[in-house]
Amino acid sequence: MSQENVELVALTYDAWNRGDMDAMLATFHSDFEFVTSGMFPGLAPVYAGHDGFRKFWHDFSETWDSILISVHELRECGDVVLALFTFEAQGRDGLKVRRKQGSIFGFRDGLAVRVENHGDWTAALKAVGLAE
Amino acid sequence: MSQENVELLRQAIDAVNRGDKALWLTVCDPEIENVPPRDWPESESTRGAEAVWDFFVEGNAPWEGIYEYSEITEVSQDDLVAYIRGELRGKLSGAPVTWSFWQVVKMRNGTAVRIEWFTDRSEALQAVQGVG
Repeated sequence: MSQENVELVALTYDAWNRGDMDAMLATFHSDFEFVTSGMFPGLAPVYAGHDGFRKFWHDFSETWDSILISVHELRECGDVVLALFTFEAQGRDGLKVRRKQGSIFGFRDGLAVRVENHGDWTAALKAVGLAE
Repeated sequence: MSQENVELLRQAIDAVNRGDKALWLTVCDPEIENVPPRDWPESESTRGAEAVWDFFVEGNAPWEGIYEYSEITEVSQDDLVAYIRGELRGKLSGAPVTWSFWQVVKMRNGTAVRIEWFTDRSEALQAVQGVG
């Protein structure tokens, strides 16, 4: 089951990079929670459910012309999957942002039920017990 | 000599893609060191051509696809900076993931003796030549 979870996360990021909302939501449980990292201003701490994620995507996309996630690692850590990636975006004002971030995915019924985002790899690694 | 080094690096990734361990062993020094990214959970190097091969095979096991170098820069006669990308699919679901890293590869006497991994081009260049 755990490798299936890893591949589900791969599907989520592939959909993210294509901007395919339906494909993203297809990987999320109806009780899904998206916990933001706090690194980006103007976002709520938590977006709940599919409608909540649509709201997040709307809020987040307003700022950026392009958003790309380059995945470096998808790793099973017990019941969760740790994703280490580089977030690259270009703002509508021309500003380019490149940041290493991490996310922790929890699962229910074969779908992601929670994504907890962290503003750097160290914080994400600590959250799953892989760093002190 | 440097063009030969570029060709050797391409042979190394070709060996990984084809599962050709014999070819891998011809292009790597028996004492090759593989150094993970500095902020990786496991910071220990892997030493020895056989051990590094096993490390790659184990890491690739859940995925299928190919890796390729889309950029190789000769920084000096023995040092290469290379951008490696993998277009992979999960073996269970076919979930796509694009995986990418920068490498600094040190060559000596026609074999690779050290591979160090980075998530960022500037970090790789800093490591090899002390400039951003």
